[in-house]
Amino acid sequence: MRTSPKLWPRIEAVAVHLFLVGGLLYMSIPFLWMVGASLKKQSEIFRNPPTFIPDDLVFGNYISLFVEYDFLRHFLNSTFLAVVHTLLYLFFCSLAGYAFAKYEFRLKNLLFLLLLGSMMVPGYTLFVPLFVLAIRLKLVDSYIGVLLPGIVGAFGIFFMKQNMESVPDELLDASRIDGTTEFGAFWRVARPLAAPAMAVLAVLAFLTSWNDFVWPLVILRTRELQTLPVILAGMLGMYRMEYGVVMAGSFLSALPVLILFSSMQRNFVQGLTVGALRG
Amino acid sequence: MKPATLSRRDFLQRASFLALGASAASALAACQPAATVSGDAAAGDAAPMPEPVELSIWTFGSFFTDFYEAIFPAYKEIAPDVTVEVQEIPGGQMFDNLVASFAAGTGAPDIADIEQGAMSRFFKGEIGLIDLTDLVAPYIDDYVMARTDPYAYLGRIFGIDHCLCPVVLYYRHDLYAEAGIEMPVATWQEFVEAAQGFEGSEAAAMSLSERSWGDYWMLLTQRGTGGIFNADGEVIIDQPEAIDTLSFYVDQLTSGTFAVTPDGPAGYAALAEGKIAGRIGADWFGGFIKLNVGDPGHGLWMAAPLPAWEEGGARTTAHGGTGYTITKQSEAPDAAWAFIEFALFDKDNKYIEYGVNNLIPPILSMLDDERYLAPDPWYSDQSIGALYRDLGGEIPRHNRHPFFSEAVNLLGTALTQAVDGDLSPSQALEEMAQDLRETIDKG
Amino acid sequence: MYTITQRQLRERLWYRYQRRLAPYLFISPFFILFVVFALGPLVAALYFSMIKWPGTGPMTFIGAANYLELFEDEIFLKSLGNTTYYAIGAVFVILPVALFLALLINAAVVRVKSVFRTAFILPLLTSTVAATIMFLLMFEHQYGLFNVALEAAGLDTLKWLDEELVKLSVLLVAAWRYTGLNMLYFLAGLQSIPTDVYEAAAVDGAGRWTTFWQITLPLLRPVSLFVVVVTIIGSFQFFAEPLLLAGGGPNNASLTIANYLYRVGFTFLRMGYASAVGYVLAVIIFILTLVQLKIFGASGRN
Repeated sequence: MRTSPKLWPRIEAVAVHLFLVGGLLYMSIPFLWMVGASLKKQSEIFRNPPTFIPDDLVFGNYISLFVEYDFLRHFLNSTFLAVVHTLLYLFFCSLAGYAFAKYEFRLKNLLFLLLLGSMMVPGYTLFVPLFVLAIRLKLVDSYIGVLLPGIVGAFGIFFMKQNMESVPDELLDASRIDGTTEFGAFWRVARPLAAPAMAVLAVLAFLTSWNDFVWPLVILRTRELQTLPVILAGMLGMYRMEYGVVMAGSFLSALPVLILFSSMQRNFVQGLTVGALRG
Repeated sequence: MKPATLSRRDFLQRASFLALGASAASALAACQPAATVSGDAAAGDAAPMPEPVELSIWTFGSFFTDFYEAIFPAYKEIAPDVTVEVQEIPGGQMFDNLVASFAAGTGAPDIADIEQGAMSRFFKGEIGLIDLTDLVAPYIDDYVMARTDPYAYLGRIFGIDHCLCPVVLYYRHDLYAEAGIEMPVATWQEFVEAAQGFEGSEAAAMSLSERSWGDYWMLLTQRGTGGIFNADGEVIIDQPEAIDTLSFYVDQLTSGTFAVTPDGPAGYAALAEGKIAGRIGADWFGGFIKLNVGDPGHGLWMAAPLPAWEEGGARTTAHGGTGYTITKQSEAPDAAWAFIEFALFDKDNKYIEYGVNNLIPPILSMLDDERYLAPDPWYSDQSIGALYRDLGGEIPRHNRHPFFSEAVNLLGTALTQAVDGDLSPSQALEEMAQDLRETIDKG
Repeated sequence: MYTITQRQLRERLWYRYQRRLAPYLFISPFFILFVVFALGPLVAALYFSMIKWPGTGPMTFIGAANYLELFEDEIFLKSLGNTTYYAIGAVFVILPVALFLALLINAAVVRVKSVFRTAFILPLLTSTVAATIMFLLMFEHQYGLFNVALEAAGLDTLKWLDEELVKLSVLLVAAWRYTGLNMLYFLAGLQSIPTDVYEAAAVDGAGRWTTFWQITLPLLRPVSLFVVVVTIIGSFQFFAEPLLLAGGGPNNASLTIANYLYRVGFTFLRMGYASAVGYVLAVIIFILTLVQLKIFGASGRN
């Protein structure tokens, strides 16, 4: 038996790719079905086994999305909220995460446990008091009210803290010796080093805001201000079984996140090294 | 907080999550002085300068929002001092917000559209809704009063439904003819015998759900015994009629005379493929069949009255619905009721609603209108509207209770146990009745 | 001998001062919001957990009675068991798979990495409605894809949504939804491991297995701690999938604690009891988190 020395790695590479493609299919089938369903008549949607390519290609779902449901307005509302949320959330979370990762200060461990603890009580337990609070603080029907409670959160801080821990202290100290402020050390050294983590958090923050359903419904009263998921949810029910329209709306609303994610891909390039940064 | 856009397994086929409603106009409304919420006779006052009033409505889907927005301009003309705004809070979230605003003592709207399945929780504690019993009184001759049952407790009415929601049997007339079934069939007993005609074929005469209690609920309320509770609020789910209904249900599933309804969307697939030739359901469900089966089913389907439990018994029941309610936080309850009268008892407004969401009005006199009676080409040119009209008055009464949600939750478990054969139907329901009584006693 | 000018002194003081103050300043936005938005509700909910209250009308103080009732509440205990099942599945199945995928995608041999990365986040971008329809169709007993596949392989078909299997089915959906997300967390962590460490290991002749255990895993510890803690929190608050797929049933077989909390609080209007469920859940999560912090080493360690 002659086995080329290069054969084994090649088999391995094929096996790895096969495995990944299998995973890729399982992960993407519901999404592809959603895209297919957005181009179907209602009577084609519930087929079993599910079909992906419509027999009758219809664009009516997209048209009624724009004409009947004022899609563009709600899309822009959601985009505005998501962009502002993401920028603020990234800034405040990475700053606080950096502080927990790179400083020793009094009560640090206690404060950190408190922060973790704040994630542990399930949302519905706090719903009634929060509802009252929103009315008392006069947050109702304003975007400030939608945004304010979420501009920083325990989840993001925890995530950034864990990722900032690998930022080497020598680099920070070096920048301090050069006379930068503490904020400067964070901004110019720690933040760029944590770019892959920031990219992940940016996508998650955007998605969180983009999909938020409960809080906008507590705060916003005027339909013109309302966000996309709320409008999409209102399409389902008795005599409005507009699944095709919902799928069209869901597909279009996935696009900004896909674009954001693609633009973040360059942050995932392996090869960021401490040495390179020193140079 | 996690969004719960859709929250039940058979969210597609069940009335209990998103509602319907329809109602009809009454010429009477114009000539009778309406009772007012505050109890004053409106007729006596010489109209003072009207104060501007702002009314808010909460509803839970665009199928109602669009209707309200369609009638606002006309309302502005007859009540120029009243501004009405509708807020859409989709899915179950609206009821969570309502719970929170009652708990908070602030934040509730004037008018709330409450889906019938979400209603009973609001009977607990201090009821946050206004008692409409006296306001509804002038309409009892024309309005199908069974449609206030989901919103009533111990004789007091807190809500009034948009729609009739009559239950009929939708069936494939070609397959039924092949199997030798002549519709309508008088009783369920005869129907089961006739359904044997499907033996050996790919299809079954009809199907029932193995897991969700909706089908059983329809069959049970059709008997007119009141359902799970009697009029005094006592648990009666261990009565012979309830046990008999469950035995019937389980027998048809275990013998295979009726098929098992596949879960959720697969249920519609089975209808489209002709594997299930009949289903019982309300008017809105008939709409779902038409929508989801689509062109291939054109001209193949019809509807018939339900077989009765006994000769001369009711041939229908109601399933689903959404009621108008007025909250006690409303600062203008009279204006709120006036708006509801405008939306619910005006024939033309009711027809506008039908155009938006296809809901059949619960006011029988409106149904003589040919706009509802036109033959439906998809349903083999049958006048489905005439069927609904003829059956509407037969909808049996039933009773609700502050613990109705707990009750149907236990009912789901009892049904599962009986269908799976873990318990006999009588054991399952007796156990359920006992659990329910304990739950109620505990408060 | 040297002298310090006034200015230098001021600068040095400021420098020391800003260094001491910085961490407090950096974390302050969170704690300000915490005091404004969370503290009040947390205290209110804690009080609710000690009362009997149907959402309106008078509240009755009953002390620990709600908590005591929980230990005899069969459905609560069942939901606790179900939730534990999901949490174990998430931590011991979904997470290792996610880590494995992250390692694969990070490996040099894999081409078109960006395609895989993107495909694995698609579940996060798929509407819940679409996913629910899709999985209900796939799990369907007679014609669903899963059973069609089993039949094709000559195996017995399964009742995926019955009492016996429903938890597994829910877990399959959870795996679909959350594996990619966790893979991303690991991927971000892998990116911040400097390549020169690997190069050094390669020079020393370390094999793949050794490199993984000796280098990758230890350096990934901070991120792993995050992933495990967040997964435990997430799976103990697991809500949407069991509800959408099976309504928490049949016979409460798929019901989670968060589902039960919602049902009891918002459908049955036992506000006090639901708050007690919430706090017991929080305590369970808190204890498990402390255990994790212990296992992974103190929070601040490198």
